[in-house]
Amino acid sequence: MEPEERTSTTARDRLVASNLVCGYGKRSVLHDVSLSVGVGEVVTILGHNGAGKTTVLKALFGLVDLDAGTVTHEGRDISRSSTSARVLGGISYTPATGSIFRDLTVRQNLELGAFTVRDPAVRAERLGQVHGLFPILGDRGNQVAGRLSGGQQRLLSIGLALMSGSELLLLDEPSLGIAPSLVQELFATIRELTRTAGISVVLVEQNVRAALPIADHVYYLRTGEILLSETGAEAAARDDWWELF
Amino acid sequence: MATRPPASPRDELTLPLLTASDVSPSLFLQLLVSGIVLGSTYALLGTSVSTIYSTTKVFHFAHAFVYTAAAYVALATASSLGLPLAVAIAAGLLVAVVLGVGIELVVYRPMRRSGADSLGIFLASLGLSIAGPNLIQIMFGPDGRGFPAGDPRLFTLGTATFTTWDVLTVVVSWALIGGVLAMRRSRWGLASIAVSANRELASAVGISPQRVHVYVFGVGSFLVGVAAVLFLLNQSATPNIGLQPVLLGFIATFLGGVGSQKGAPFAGLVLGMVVSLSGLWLAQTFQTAVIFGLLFVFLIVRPQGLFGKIAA
Repeated sequence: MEPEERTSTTARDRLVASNLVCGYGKRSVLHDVSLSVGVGEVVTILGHNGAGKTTVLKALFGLVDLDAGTVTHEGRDISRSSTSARVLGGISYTPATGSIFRDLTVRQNLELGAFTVRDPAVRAERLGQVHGLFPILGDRGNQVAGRLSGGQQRLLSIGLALMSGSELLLLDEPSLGIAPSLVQELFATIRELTRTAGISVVLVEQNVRAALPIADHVYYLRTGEILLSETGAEAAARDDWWELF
Repeated sequence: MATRPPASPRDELTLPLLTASDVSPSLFLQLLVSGIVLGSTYALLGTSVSTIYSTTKVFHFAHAFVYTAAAYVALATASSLGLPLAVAIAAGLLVAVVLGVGIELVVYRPMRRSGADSLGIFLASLGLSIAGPNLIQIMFGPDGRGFPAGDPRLFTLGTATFTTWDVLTVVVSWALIGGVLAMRRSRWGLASIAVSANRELASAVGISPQRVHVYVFGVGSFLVGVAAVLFLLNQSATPNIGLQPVLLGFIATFLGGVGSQKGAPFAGLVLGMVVSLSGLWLAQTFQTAVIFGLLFVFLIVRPQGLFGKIAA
């Protein structure tokens, strides 16, 4: 997507967050965070430890209550919606750790991903799609998920999100626990998903070098505020990012 | 339990451990059969408690009240109202489910909403487990009341004897345990495993933990109701019959390993066998000591239970 388009056309924005303020109890974490995610876009949030990256995802998903600000999804205000309502609306959240049910089989994990889907035919169709995207998950269907490799567990966690019919994946550190050689491959897979299926992704990453090449847009977060936003191409052209962290 | 040979030296408390050759084969067989019956009861109780505990992490001692209420409602329906036995049993089971789910909805859920910790919820549950049976005592009196189930047939297997009720207890218990294990593959069964394994992720895929709680309280209360009815076949009810079975359910749950659904029934069976077979060497009054001794050893040597995993 062309960077010029995003400022002019709001109709293509799948998710818009405006001036989010939130925290845990009395501890305020986000002070003023605004971002937007277009259809088929990968938006990457960068920042040092404790900048509030995970909290942004949790706020978008409704796991943290907002003190101020709004979240709009497909033109509807979902600022006060429950997480299960957001899942039904097509948003999914994949935490950095504990993103699969380790004691259950791969197949059972995927079935649980489609828990909100009542129609068995739709569930079967989704399962077919996920198996098509990640054949390894089909081959290992009866294996206990905790015994998969780190990379396979990540694919499973994304498969879980896709099973719910999600069109907006909130991914927290998908590169965590994966062999470095596989990280590029994983990000290429994520990019492919957005191109072919029109899925949007909000990505929180520590692994800047791997995450930038697939980003359409990058937000730099520092102590709960957006310091700067730029296109993925601009971000990738930088020599270093230290001034921003 | 088995009748033991009168005036045997092992009834005196100064017992040195007897060697295997001193053990009478007929006593062994009888204790084995009794152990299977007792173990089946414990297995059912363990499955009931672990179904609720592994998902909700509530020390649901009010389960004792549910057990007692199921027994008394079945009794009252059969003897006071004079309705058929099947109706009485159905009424007891219905009350068990309604009461168990009701306690979750009316007591635990509002407490959780207002931020009560697990100790607060446990104390409320303990309170119910005392107040409930007191209420039953006020309504029905403290005396034992028997079920008009009639006399069972007696079977003999070699030198061991058992009754129709024993057979019924074993068959019904394991049929239900098998049913619960099979239900783990159902939509709500999977959802309850999901909540117990990873609550946050379960919410993230759109499972409502509240609804899962209602489901597991319903299933667990039904099972404890069945255990209460089976108890009535052999023994008469008093207002305080509930506490021991629930304690045994918890012990089977912890011996089996929290989070392992197969653990509790297996541990329950083993516990029943060990308790019964300990009668070869120990007087029956030592049963409780054997149960808690086993729990004590496990908590020290293998705190995660037989099939449990150590939390990472």
